[in-house]
Amino acid sequence: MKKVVSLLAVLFLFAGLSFAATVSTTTYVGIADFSNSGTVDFSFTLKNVSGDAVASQLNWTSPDAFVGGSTVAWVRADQYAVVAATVTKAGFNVYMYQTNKNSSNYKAETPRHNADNSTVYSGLVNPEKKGGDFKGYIPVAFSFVGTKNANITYDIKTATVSATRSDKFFMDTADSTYTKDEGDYMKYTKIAGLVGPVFAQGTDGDWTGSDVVNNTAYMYFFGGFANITGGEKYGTDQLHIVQVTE
Amino acid sequence: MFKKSFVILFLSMLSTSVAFASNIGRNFYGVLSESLSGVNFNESLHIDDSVRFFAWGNMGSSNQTDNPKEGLNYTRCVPGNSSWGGGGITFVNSSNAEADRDMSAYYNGELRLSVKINNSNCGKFPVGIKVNGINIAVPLSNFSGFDSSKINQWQDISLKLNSNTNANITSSNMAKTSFLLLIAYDENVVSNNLALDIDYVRWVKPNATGAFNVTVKKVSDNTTVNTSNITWASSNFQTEWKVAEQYLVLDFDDDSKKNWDVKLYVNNSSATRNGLYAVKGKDEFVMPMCWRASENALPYSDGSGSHTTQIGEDYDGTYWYLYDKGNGDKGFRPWLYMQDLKALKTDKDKDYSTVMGYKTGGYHAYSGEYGSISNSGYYSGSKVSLYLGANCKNTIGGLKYTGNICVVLTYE
Repeated sequence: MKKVVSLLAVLFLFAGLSFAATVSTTTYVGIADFSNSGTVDFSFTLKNVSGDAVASQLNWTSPDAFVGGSTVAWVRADQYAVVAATVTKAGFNVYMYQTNKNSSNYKAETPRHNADNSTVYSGLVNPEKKGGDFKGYIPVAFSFVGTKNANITYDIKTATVSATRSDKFFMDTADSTYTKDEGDYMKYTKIAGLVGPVFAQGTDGDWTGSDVVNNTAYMYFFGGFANITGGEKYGTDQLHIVQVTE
Repeated sequence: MFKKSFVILFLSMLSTSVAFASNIGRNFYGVLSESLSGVNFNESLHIDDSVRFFAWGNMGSSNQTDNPKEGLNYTRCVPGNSSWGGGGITFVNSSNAEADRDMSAYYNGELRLSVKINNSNCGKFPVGIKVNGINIAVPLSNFSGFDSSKINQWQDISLKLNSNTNANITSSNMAKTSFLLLIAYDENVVSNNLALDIDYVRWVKPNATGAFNVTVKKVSDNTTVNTSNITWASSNFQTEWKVAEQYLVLDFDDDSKKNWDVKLYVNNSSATRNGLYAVKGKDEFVMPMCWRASENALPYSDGSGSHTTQIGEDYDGTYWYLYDKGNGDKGFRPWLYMQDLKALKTDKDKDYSTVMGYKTGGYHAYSGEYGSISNSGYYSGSKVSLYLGANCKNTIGGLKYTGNICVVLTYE
């Protein structure tokens, strides 16, 4: 009998400690539709480093000392680009890429190999050799900076990329490592929730453009000269700069 | 700040008369209640619900805060010794003198309250109402549910508002009700050291059924709309904090739900999505939201200035805060930041999500610091106009921002 009384007391005690809560939820959908809002204003202008005149193509004047050398020497192009972007619309991007296999004048048929044995078709192509590892290409890289710097130089970065400069190589759609996603398109702009500076984005990560003023950045181009045969010509007519709203 | 007391300490919403809709006719009409809408102790408003406390003789009263029955406060009545006295809550006219209101809708209903006595002799206290100039006060011991042996414990009691209680309680006489709560005693009743604590006083309609209703209205003209969407105009693109085109009227009219409260938050499954949000590729964009509970539809003006739909934001060196930009006083901070369900602050000093409730002492009308839930942040009542704002400043075009805005009623 005592045991029964004790059990009932325990049950009553637990009942007093707990209660069931009833919850009634009414949900409303909040909507702010700015699908048709926002603007895009983008410009890409080539200029001569010396004199600042508007230019129509990139040229490299390679000093003789680099010709025929076995060590890659990065030479700045004689032109630079003024890139200005004021974008208040999401999904807007400017992609830069090459399609050297499609060229008639500088057609790439044979790729060159990177140290990891990946194949690439990007850069300036030797039209006589139509590419290839030996003197078939001049690889091209670029940097974004927030202020003009005619004396800028290029240092090849490894996996750790400087936060203040983008060390990007030109990429070709035929490159073996190329995939169409954010990492492999060289995107000029990225909206991070704000109208702001121009970004560059690639597989090495983002460049935040913290030193950009008035939404204007500067691109400098570098060619990697090595094993070049004097008297030969390298070029590309397949450098595409495409504005896209996705 | 409203304190449930016979001593009036109303610090805001004074002086200017505005078009306030009367609460008379609600199923549960709060008389001395923080969580139920009903009377309004702001005499200067000169509205149908305006009341004041009258006292006579030697009755003392004080506001107490230790373990109230409802809300954060209750009132203690202490009669003097061997004398007469009393007090009560009465409707007033524009001159703040005792006046009548038509409370006939409550005929055959009940006067309900909670009391706590310190002596069984408190059962002698005459408590009641005044109708058509007639004082009707019966001993507490005559109230249904009263137990004179229940000392220092809250007990819920009630009195029928019909002739069963007193022959003068008729529908016709109740059409001229002045005192909603009346205490009147003489030397034959009182004795030494009596104290009567009173809390949660309300008038209840006959066959009253509790309800919680949420209505959507247009901010532009206060008309009711049948929609489950709360929208912000596209013209708000890259502007500032803006109010939505709709607002909600929350109306809790019920005294049967135990420990109820109403919370507001967004449910977007992420602590950082504290408002509306949009996703584009790998990027996510958020429009933070805010909310405001107002006793009346905005805009309106009273003694504390303008109450508007304009939202301002500033930083005082310690924390960010929102204020009524149309009021001109940055100290007037009725807007609270919205939170996602994943990030609700639950510290007792930080509450951005509770709109109103039984235990909170009314509705959350003032944010102060951190959405404080101190007594000064809540105003009595259970019917509010709930406005929603969003920060449109950093919005990006080409996007449609959305979010799930939840109004949640919880009770035991």
